[in-house]
Amino acid sequence: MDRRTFTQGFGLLTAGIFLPVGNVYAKTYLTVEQAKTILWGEMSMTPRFVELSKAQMKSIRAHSKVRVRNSRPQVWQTANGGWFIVDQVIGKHENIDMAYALEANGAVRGLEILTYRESYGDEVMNPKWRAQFHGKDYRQSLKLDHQIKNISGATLSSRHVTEGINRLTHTWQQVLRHL
Amino acid sequence: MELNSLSRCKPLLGTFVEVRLAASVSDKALIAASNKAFAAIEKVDAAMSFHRLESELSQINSSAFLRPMALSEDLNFVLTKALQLSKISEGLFDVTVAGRLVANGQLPSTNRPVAPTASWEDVEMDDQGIRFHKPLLIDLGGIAKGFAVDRAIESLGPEIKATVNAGGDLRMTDWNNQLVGVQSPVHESAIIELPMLAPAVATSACYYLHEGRSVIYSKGSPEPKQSSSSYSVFAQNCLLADALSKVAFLNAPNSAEILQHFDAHARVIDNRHTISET
Repeated sequence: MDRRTFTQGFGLLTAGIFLPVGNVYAKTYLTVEQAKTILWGEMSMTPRFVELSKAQMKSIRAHSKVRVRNSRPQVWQTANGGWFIVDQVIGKHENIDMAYALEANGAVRGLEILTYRESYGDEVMNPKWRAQFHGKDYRQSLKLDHQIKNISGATLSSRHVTEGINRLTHTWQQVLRHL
Repeated sequence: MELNSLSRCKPLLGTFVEVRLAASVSDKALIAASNKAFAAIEKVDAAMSFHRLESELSQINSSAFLRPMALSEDLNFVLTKALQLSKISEGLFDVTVAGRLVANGQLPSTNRPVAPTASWEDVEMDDQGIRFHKPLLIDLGGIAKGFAVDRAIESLGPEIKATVNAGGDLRMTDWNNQLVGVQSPVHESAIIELPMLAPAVATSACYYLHEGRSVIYSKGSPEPKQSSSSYSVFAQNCLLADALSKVAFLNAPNSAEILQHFDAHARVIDNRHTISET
Protein backbone atom coordinates (compact mmCIF):
# COMPACT_ATOMS: atom_id res chain seq x y z
CA MET A 1 0.00 0.00 0.00
CA ASP A 2 1.52 3.33 -0.91
CA ARG A 3 1.31 6.27 1.41
CA ARG A 4 -1.44 7.99 -0.50
CA THR A 5 -3.90 5.09 -0.40
CA PHE A 6 -3.03 4.55 3.23
CA THR A 7 -3.91 8.16 4.02
CA GLN A 8 -7.17 7.93 2.13
CA GLY A 9 -8.10 4.76 3.99
CA PHE A 10 -7.25 6.38 7.27
CA GLY A 11 -9.33 9.43 6.39
CA LEU A 12 -12.37 7.29 5.78
CA LEU A 13 -11.89 5.32 8.96
CA THR A 14 -11.59 8.40 11.12
CA ALA A 15 -14.58 10.02 9.43
CA GLY A 16 -16.58 7.03 10.59
CA ILE A 17 -15.43 7.22 14.15
CA PHE A 18 -14.82 10.87 14.93
CA LEU A 19 -17.38 13.19 13.52
CA PRO A 20 -16.92 16.93 13.35
CA VAL A 21 -16.94 18.64 16.74
CA GLY A 22 -20.47 19.29 17.86
CA ASN A 23 -23.51 17.51 19.03
CA VAL A 24 -23.62 13.93 17.92
CA TYR A 25 -26.58 11.66 18.09
CA ALA A 26 -26.01 8.01 17.23
CA LYS A 27 -28.07 4.88 17.10
CA THR A 28 -26.74 1.40 16.55
CA TYR A 29 -29.09 -1.19 15.15
CA LEU A 30 -27.26 -4.24 13.88
CA THR A 31 -23.76 -5.64 13.82
CA VAL A 32 -22.33 -6.71 10.47
CA GLU A 33 -22.82 -10.36 11.49
CA GLN A 34 -26.49 -9.79 12.39
CA ALA A 35 -27.07 -8.02 9.08
CA LYS A 36 -25.49 -10.99 7.23
CA THR A 37 -27.92 -13.35 8.96
CA ILE A 38 -30.95 -11.15 8.30
CA LEU A 39 -30.11 -10.59 4.64
CA TRP A 40 -28.61 -13.96 3.70
CA GLY A 41 -29.65 -16.41 6.44
CA GLU A 42 -27.27 -19.37 6.67
CA MET A 43 -25.71 -18.73 3.26
CA SER A 44 -21.90 -18.91 3.43
CA MET A 45 -19.90 -15.96 2.09
CA THR A 46 -16.28 -15.07 1.55
CA PRO A 47 -14.68 -11.61 1.65
CA ARG A 48 -13.65 -10.18 -1.70
CA PHE A 49 -11.08 -7.42 -1.92
CA VAL A 50 -12.46 -4.60 -4.02
CA GLU A 51 -10.60 -1.43 -4.83
CA LEU A 52 -12.27 0.92 -7.27
CA SER A 53 -9.96 2.67 -9.71
CA LYS A 54 -10.32 6.39 -10.37
CA ALA A 55 -11.89 5.60 -13.73
CA GLN A 56 -14.41 3.21 -12.16
CA MET A 57 -15.36 5.74 -9.48
CA LYS A 58 -15.87 8.34 -12.17
CA SER A 59 -17.97 6.00 -14.26
CA ILE A 60 -20.14 4.94 -11.28
CA ARG A 61 -20.66 8.59 -10.48
CA ALA A 62 -21.63 9.40 -14.05
CA HIS A 63 -24.17 6.56 -14.18
CA SER A 64 -25.66 6.88 -10.69
CA LYS A 65 -25.36 10.69 -10.37
CA VAL A 66 -24.00 10.06 -6.88
CA ARG A 67 -20.52 10.94 -5.69
CA VAL A 68 -18.34 7.94 -4.84
CA ARG A 69 -16.35 8.72 -1.69
CA ASN A 70 -15.04 5.30 -0.78
CA SER A 71 -12.75 3.42 -3.15
CA ARG A 72 -12.80 0.33 -0.95
CA PRO A 73 -16.28 -0.90 -0.11
CA GLN A 74 -16.32 -3.95 2.17
CA VAL A 75 -17.56 -6.73 -0.08
CA TRP A 76 -18.41 -10.41 0.47
CA GLN A 77 -19.55 -12.85 -2.19
CA THR A 78 -22.06 -15.54 -1.25
CA ALA A 79 -21.92 -19.21 -2.23
CA ASN A 80 -24.69 -18.63 -4.82
CA GLY A 81 -22.94 -15.70 -6.47
CA GLY A 82 -24.78 -12.94 -4.60
CA TRP A 83 -23.22 -10.03 -2.73
CA PHE A 84 -23.10 -8.52 0.74
CA ILE A 85 -21.69 -5.00 0.94
CA VAL A 86 -21.03 -2.71 3.88
CA ASP A 87 -20.72 0.94 2.99
CA GLN A 88 -21.35 4.46 4.27
CA VAL A 89 -23.91 7.01 3.18
CA ILE A 90 -23.05 10.60 4.03
CA GLY A 91 -25.62 13.38 3.99
CA LYS A 92 -25.66 16.98 5.20
CA HIS A 93 -25.95 16.05 8.89
CA GLU A 94 -26.05 12.29 8.77
CA ASN A 95 -23.51 9.54 8.41
CA ILE A 96 -25.02 6.08 8.01
CA ASP A 97 -23.40 2.65 7.91
CA MET A 98 -25.44 0.42 5.64
CA ALA A 99 -25.42 -3.24 4.70
CA TYR A 100 -26.72 -4.18 1.26
CA ALA A 101 -27.50 -7.55 -0.26
CA LEU A 102 -27.48 -7.88 -4.04
CA GLU A 103 -28.56 -11.02 -5.91
CA ALA A 104 -26.13 -12.62 -8.40
CA ASN A 105 -27.95 -10.70 -11.17
CA GLY A 106 -27.46 -7.37 -9.38
CA ALA A 107 -31.04 -7.01 -8.14
CA VAL A 108 -31.35 -5.51 -4.67
CA ARG A 109 -32.24 -8.29 -2.24
CA GLY A 110 -32.41 -6.07 0.82
CA LEU A 111 -30.70 -3.49 2.95
CA GLU A 112 -30.24 -2.72 6.60
CA ILE A 113 -29.07 0.34 8.46
CA LEU A 114 -26.32 -0.67 10.89
CA THR A 115 -25.55 2.68 12.52
CA TYR A 116 -27.15 6.07 12.14
CA ARG A 117 -25.29 9.18 13.30
CA GLU A 118 -26.35 12.79 13.13
CA SER A 119 -24.20 15.75 13.98
CA TYR A 120 -24.88 19.45 14.30
CA GLY A 121 -23.05 22.56 15.38
CA ASP A 122 -21.99 22.82 19.00
CA GLU A 123 -24.23 25.70 20.09
CA VAL A 124 -26.34 23.38 22.24
CA MET A 125 -23.31 22.73 24.41
CA ASN A 126 -22.89 26.44 25.05
CA PRO A 127 -24.26 27.41 28.52
CA LYS A 128 -25.43 30.81 27.21
CA TRP A 129 -27.45 29.13 24.50
CA ARG A 130 -28.93 26.70 26.99
CA ALA A 131 -29.76 29.44 29.49
CA GLN A 132 -32.28 31.02 27.12
CA PHE A 133 -34.54 28.00 27.54
CA HIS A 134 -34.69 28.01 31.32
CA GLY A 135 -38.21 29.42 31.40
CA LYS A 136 -40.46 29.18 34.41
CA ASP A 137 -42.06 25.97 33.24
CA TYR A 138 -38.77 24.37 32.40
CA ARG A 139 -38.92 20.81 33.65
CA GLN A 140 -35.40 19.57 33.32
CA SER A 141 -36.46 17.85 30.20
CA LEU A 142 -34.05 19.25 27.66
CA LYS A 143 -31.74 16.38 26.81
CA LEU A 144 -28.39 16.83 25.20
CA ASP A 145 -26.77 13.47 25.58
CA HIS A 146 -29.16 11.88 23.12
CA GLN A 147 -29.26 8.56 24.88
CA ILE A 148 -32.95 8.54 24.03
CA LYS A 149 -34.41 5.67 22.11
CA ASN A 150 -37.78 7.04 21.10
CA ILE A 151 -37.81 10.30 19.26
CA SER A 152 -40.78 12.08 17.74
CA GLY A 153 -40.20 15.11 15.57
CA ALA A 154 -38.94 16.02 12.16
CA THR A 155 -39.49 13.37 9.53
CA LEU A 156 -35.98 12.80 8.26
CA SER A 157 -35.63 12.22 4.56
CA SER A 158 -34.07 8.93 3.49
CA ARG A 159 -33.10 10.36 0.11
CA HIS A 160 -29.36 9.88 0.64
CA VAL A 161 -29.90 6.22 1.40
CA THR A 162 -31.87 5.82 -1.81
CA GLU A 163 -28.97 7.45 -3.63
CA GLY A 164 -26.61 5.00 -1.93
CA ILE A 165 -28.62 2.07 -3.30
CA ASN A 166 -28.36 3.55 -6.77
CA ARG A 167 -24.62 4.01 -6.41
CA LEU A 168 -24.07 0.39 -5.31
CA THR A 169 -26.28 -1.00 -8.06
CA HIS A 170 -23.98 0.77 -10.52
CA THR A 171 -20.91 -0.46 -8.60
CA TRP A 172 -22.21 -3.97 -9.30
CA GLN A 173 -22.87 -3.09 -12.94
CA GLN A 174 -19.43 -1.58 -13.48
CA VAL A 175 -17.23 -3.68 -11.23
CA LEU A 176 -18.58 -6.57 -9.17
CA ARG A 177 -20.19 -8.51 -12.01
CA HIS A 178 -16.84 -8.63 -13.79
CA LEU A 179 -14.93 -10.07 -10.82
CA MET B 1 -35.56 -18.26 28.00
CA GLU B 2 -34.62 -14.68 28.83
CA LEU B 3 -35.83 -11.69 26.86
CA ASN B 4 -34.19 -11.47 23.45
CA SER B 5 -34.18 -8.21 21.51
CA LEU B 6 -33.67 -6.91 17.99
CA SER B 7 -33.54 -3.36 16.57
CA ARG B 8 -33.72 -2.76 12.85
CA CYS B 9 -34.04 0.37 10.75
CA LYS B 10 -34.87 0.60 7.06
CA PRO B 11 -35.58 3.44 4.64
CA LEU B 12 -39.34 3.29 3.96
CA LEU B 13 -42.21 5.79 3.56
CA GLY B 14 -39.59 8.32 2.45
CA THR B 15 -38.04 8.29 5.92
CA PHE B 16 -36.35 5.93 8.38
CA VAL B 17 -38.51 3.27 9.97
CA GLU B 18 -37.31 1.65 13.19
CA VAL B 19 -38.69 -1.63 14.49
CA ARG B 20 -37.56 -2.63 17.98
CA LEU B 21 -38.72 -5.95 19.36
CA ALA B 22 -38.21 -7.86 22.58
CA ALA B 23 -39.57 -11.31 23.42
CA SER B 24 -38.59 -14.62 24.99
CA VAL B 25 -38.12 -16.23 21.59
CA SER B 26 -35.22 -17.32 19.39
CA ASP B 27 -33.22 -14.95 17.16
CA LYS B 28 -34.86 -16.58 14.18
CA ALA B 29 -38.37 -15.95 15.50
CA LEU B 30 -37.49 -12.34 16.27
CA ILE B 31 -36.09 -11.80 12.77
CA ALA B 32 -39.22 -13.39 11.28
CA ALA B 33 -41.44 -11.09 13.37
CA SER B 34 -39.48 -8.00 12.33
CA ASN B 35 -39.74 -9.08 8.68
CA LYS B 36 -43.52 -9.24 9.07
CA ALA B 37 -43.60 -5.75 10.59
CA PHE B 38 -41.51 -4.30 7.75
CA ALA B 39 -43.60 -6.15 5.15
CA ALA B 40 -46.74 -4.53 6.61
CA ILE B 41 -45.12 -1.09 6.23
CA GLU B 42 -43.88 -1.81 2.70
CA LYS B 43 -47.41 -2.79 1.70
CA VAL B 44 -48.81 0.55 2.91
CA ASP B 45 -45.92 2.42 1.26
CA ALA B 46 -46.60 0.71 -2.09
CA ALA B 47 -50.36 1.41 -1.98
CA MET B 48 -50.49 4.92 -0.53
CA SER B 49 -47.47 6.80 -1.85
CA PHE B 50 -48.26 10.02 -3.72
CA HIS B 51 -44.76 9.89 -5.20
CA ARG B 52 -45.08 6.47 -6.85
CA LEU B 53 -46.95 6.66 -10.11
CA GLU B 54 -47.93 2.98 -9.89
CA SER B 55 -49.39 3.20 -6.36
CA GLU B 56 -53.08 2.56 -5.80
CA LEU B 57 -53.42 6.15 -4.58
CA SER B 58 -51.88 7.52 -7.80
CA GLN B 59 -54.32 5.43 -9.86
CA ILE B 60 -57.21 6.89 -7.89
CA ASN B 61 -55.86 10.42 -8.25
CA SER B 62 -55.67 9.99 -12.00
CA SER B 63 -59.08 8.35 -12.56
CA ALA B 64 -61.56 8.87 -9.71
CA PHE B 65 -62.90 12.08 -11.26
CA LEU B 66 -63.67 10.18 -14.46
CA ARG B 67 -65.20 7.03 -12.97
CA PRO B 68 -65.71 5.30 -9.62
CA MET B 69 -62.61 3.37 -8.59
CA ALA B 70 -62.62 0.22 -6.46
CA LEU B 71 -60.57 0.41 -3.26
CA SER B 72 -58.39 -2.11 -1.48
CA GLU B 73 -59.34 -2.87 2.11
CA ASP B 74 -56.43 -0.82 3.48
CA LEU B 75 -57.07 2.26 1.35
CA ASN B 76 -60.79 2.02 2.05
CA PHE B 77 -60.01 2.01 5.79
CA VAL B 78 -57.61 4.97 5.67
CA LEU B 79 -59.82 7.10 3.39
CA THR B 80 -62.90 6.37 5.49
CA LYS B 81 -61.00 7.48 8.61
CA ALA B 82 -59.68 10.54 6.76
CA LEU B 83 -63.17 11.62 5.70
CA GLN B 84 -64.52 11.06 9.23
CA LEU B 85 -61.73 13.27 10.55
CA SER B 86 -62.56 15.91 7.93
CA LYS B 87 -66.21 15.86 8.90
CA ILE B 88 -65.63 16.08 12.64
CA SER B 89 -62.97 18.76 12.21
CA GLU B 90 -65.13 20.67 9.69
CA GLY B 91 -62.38 20.45 7.11
CA LEU B 92 -59.44 21.29 9.36
CA PHE B 93 -58.05 17.88 8.43
CA ASP B 94 -58.42 17.43 4.68
CA VAL B 95 -56.50 14.94 2.50
CA THR B 96 -57.39 16.90 -0.65
CA VAL B 97 -54.81 19.50 0.41
CA ALA B 98 -52.48 17.86 -2.15
CA GLY B 99 -53.55 20.36 -4.82
CA ARG B 100 -52.16 23.24 -2.74
CA LEU B 101 -48.97 21.31 -1.97
CA VAL B 102 -48.43 20.68 -5.68
CA ALA B 103 -49.20 24.33 -6.51
CA ASN B 104 -46.53 25.40 -4.00
CA GLY B 105 -43.99 22.88 -5.26
CA GLN B 106 -44.16 20.82 -2.04
CA LEU B 107 -45.35 17.71 -3.86
CA PRO B 108 -44.35 16.67 -7.38
CA SER B 109 -46.55 17.89 -10.18
CA THR B 110 -48.99 15.42 -11.71
CA ASN B 111 -49.78 17.58 -14.75
CA ARG B 112 -53.46 17.24 -13.99
CA PRO B 113 -55.80 20.17 -13.48
CA VAL B 114 -57.06 20.61 -9.92
CA ALA B 115 -60.16 22.63 -8.99
CA PRO B 116 -59.00 25.32 -6.55
CA THR B 117 -62.24 25.02 -4.59
CA ALA B 118 -62.07 21.21 -4.26
CA SER B 119 -62.25 19.81 -0.73
CA TRP B 120 -62.97 16.58 1.14
CA GLU B 121 -66.68 17.20 0.48
CA ASP B 122 -66.06 16.44 -3.19
CA VAL B 123 -64.91 12.92 -2.35
CA GLU B 124 -67.66 10.33 -2.32
CA MET B 125 -67.22 6.78 -1.08
CA ASP B 126 -69.76 3.96 -1.34
CA ASP B 127 -69.95 0.27 -2.27
CA GLN B 128 -68.72 1.11 -5.76
CA GLY B 129 -65.54 2.56 -4.38
CA ILE B 130 -64.40 6.17 -4.56
CA ARG B 131 -65.37 9.03 -6.83
CA PHE B 132 -64.32 12.69 -7.06
CA HIS B 133 -66.97 15.31 -7.91
CA LYS B 134 -64.29 17.83 -8.87
CA PRO B 135 -60.82 17.28 -10.28
CA LEU B 136 -58.71 16.95 -7.13
CA LEU B 137 -55.68 15.20 -5.67
CA ILE B 138 -55.46 13.21 -2.45
CA ASP B 139 -52.26 13.02 -0.44
CA LEU B 140 -52.18 10.71 2.57
CA GLY B 141 -48.91 12.16 3.89
CA GLY B 142 -50.72 13.27 7.06
CA ILE B 143 -52.20 9.90 7.96
CA ALA B 144 -50.67 6.93 6.10
CA LYS B 145 -47.41 6.84 8.06
CA GLY B 146 -49.39 6.46 11.26
CA PHE B 147 -51.53 3.77 9.66
CA ALA B 148 -48.39 1.91 8.50
CA VAL B 149 -47.08 1.95 12.08
CA ASP B 150 -50.41 0.55 13.32
CA ARG B 151 -50.30 -2.24 10.74
CA ALA B 152 -46.73 -3.13 11.73
CA ILE B 153 -47.67 -3.36 15.42
CA GLU B 154 -50.80 -5.37 14.60
CA SER B 155 -48.73 -7.86 12.56
CA LEU B 156 -46.92 -8.97 15.73
CA GLY B 157 -47.95 -11.66 18.18
CA PRO B 158 -48.99 -10.73 21.75
CA GLU B 159 -45.79 -12.29 23.15
CA ILE B 160 -43.70 -9.56 21.53
CA LYS B 161 -42.99 -6.17 23.06
CA ALA B 162 -42.53 -3.70 20.25
CA THR B 163 -41.84 -0.09 19.35
CA VAL B 164 -42.28 1.05 15.77
CA ASN B 165 -41.15 4.56 14.81
CA ALA B 166 -41.68 5.85 11.28
CA GLY B 167 -39.92 9.21 11.16
CA GLY B 168 -41.41 10.33 14.49
CA ASP B 169 -44.81 8.62 14.20
CA LEU B 170 -44.38 6.16 16.99
CA ARG B 171 -46.35 3.40 18.70
CA MET B 172 -45.39 1.11 21.57
CA THR B 173 -47.02 -2.06 22.88
CA ASP B 174 -45.81 -1.35 26.44
CA TRP B 175 -46.14 2.41 26.72
CA ASN B 176 -46.92 2.83 30.41
CA ASN B 177 -44.18 4.74 32.24
CA GLN B 178 -42.26 5.22 29.01
CA LEU B 179 -40.80 8.50 27.81
CA VAL B 180 -40.61 9.94 24.34
CA GLY B 181 -38.04 12.49 23.22
CA VAL B 182 -39.60 15.30 21.20
CA GLN B 183 -37.33 17.24 18.91
CA SER B 184 -37.13 20.91 19.86
CA PRO B 185 -39.10 23.15 17.47
CA VAL B 186 -36.18 25.60 17.36
CA HIS B 187 -33.08 23.47 17.56
CA GLU B 188 -32.94 20.26 15.59
CA SER B 189 -30.52 18.50 17.90
CA ALA B 190 -32.16 19.32 21.25
CA ILE B 191 -34.65 16.81 22.63
CA ILE B 192 -37.37 17.43 25.22
CA GLU B 193 -38.65 14.39 27.06
CA LEU B 194 -42.36 13.84 27.61
CA PRO B 195 -44.15 10.93 29.29
CA MET B 196 -46.11 8.68 26.92
CA LEU B 197 -49.81 9.42 27.53
CA ALA B 198 -51.17 6.77 25.15
CA PRO B 199 -49.80 3.96 22.94
CA ALA B 200 -49.06 6.27 20.00
CA VAL B 201 -47.58 9.73 19.44
CA ALA B 202 -46.85 11.97 16.48
CA THR B 203 -45.44 15.50 16.32
CA SER B 204 -45.98 18.37 13.91
CA ALA B 205 -43.87 21.53 13.71
CA CYS B 206 -42.09 23.74 11.20
CA TYR B 207 -38.99 21.57 11.43
CA TYR B 208 -37.89 22.37 7.92
CA LEU B 209 -38.19 26.16 7.95
CA HIS B 210 -34.60 26.44 6.74
CA GLU B 211 -35.64 24.50 3.66
CA GLY B 212 -38.72 26.61 2.97
CA ARG B 213 -42.16 26.46 4.48
CA SER B 214 -44.28 24.17 6.59
CA VAL B 215 -46.48 21.70 4.73
CA ILE B 216 -49.56 22.18 6.92
CA TYR B 217 -52.32 24.42 5.58
CA SER B 218 -55.25 26.10 7.29
CA LYS B 219 -58.64 25.53 5.75
CA GLY B 220 -58.95 27.54 2.54
CA SER B 221 -55.56 29.20 2.90
CA PRO B 222 -53.21 29.07 -0.09
CA GLU B 223 -50.18 29.53 2.19
CA PRO B 224 -48.98 27.05 4.80
CA LYS B 225 -49.29 27.88 8.50
CA GLN B 226 -46.11 28.78 10.35
CA SER B 227 -45.48 28.25 14.05
CA SER B 228 -42.46 28.26 16.32
CA SER B 229 -44.01 25.56 18.55
CA SER B 230 -44.19 21.80 18.12
CA TYR B 231 -47.45 19.91 18.64
CA SER B 232 -47.28 16.32 19.85
CA VAL B 233 -50.48 14.30 19.97
CA PHE B 234 -50.86 11.11 22.00
CA ALA B 235 -53.65 8.80 20.86
CA GLN B 236 -54.88 5.21 21.03
CA ASN B 237 -53.45 4.42 17.61
CA CYS B 238 -50.84 6.00 15.38
CA LEU B 239 -53.19 6.86 12.50
CA LEU B 240 -55.09 9.14 14.88
CA ALA B 241 -51.91 10.56 16.44
CA ASP B 242 -50.55 11.35 12.96
CA ALA B 243 -53.72 13.03 11.68
CA LEU B 244 -54.55 14.83 14.92
CA SER B 245 -51.04 16.29 15.24
CA LYS B 246 -51.94 18.36 12.14
CA VAL B 247 -55.23 19.41 13.72
CA ALA B 248 -53.38 20.43 16.89
CA PHE B 249 -50.74 22.30 14.86
CA LEU B 250 -53.40 24.41 13.15
CA ASN B 251 -54.45 25.44 16.65
CA ALA B 252 -57.99 26.35 15.57
CA PRO B 253 -60.67 27.29 18.14
CA ASN B 254 -62.12 23.77 17.86
CA SER B 255 -58.79 21.87 17.90
CA ALA B 256 -59.00 20.95 21.60
CA GLU B 257 -62.57 19.74 21.24
CA ILE B 258 -61.66 17.51 18.30
CA LEU B 259 -58.80 15.95 20.22
CA GLN B 260 -61.09 15.32 23.15
CA HIS B 261 -63.58 13.59 20.85
CA PHE B 262 -60.88 11.05 19.94
CA ASP B 263 -59.59 10.69 23.52
CA ALA B 264 -56.30 12.21 22.36
CA HIS B 265 -53.98 14.55 24.27
CA ALA B 266 -51.76 17.31 22.94
CA ARG B 267 -48.49 18.62 24.35
CA VAL B 268 -47.18 21.84 22.90
CA ILE B 269 -43.51 22.82 23.18
CA ASP B 270 -42.82 26.47 22.40
CA ASN B 271 -39.64 28.18 21.26
CA ARG B 272 -38.51 28.53 24.90
CA HIS B 273 -39.12 24.82 25.47
CA THR B 274 -42.07 25.52 27.75
CA ILE B 275 -44.51 22.62 27.71
CA SER B 276 -48.27 23.23 27.73
CA GLU B 277 -51.47 21.43 26.82
CA THR B 278 -52.67 23.92 24.20
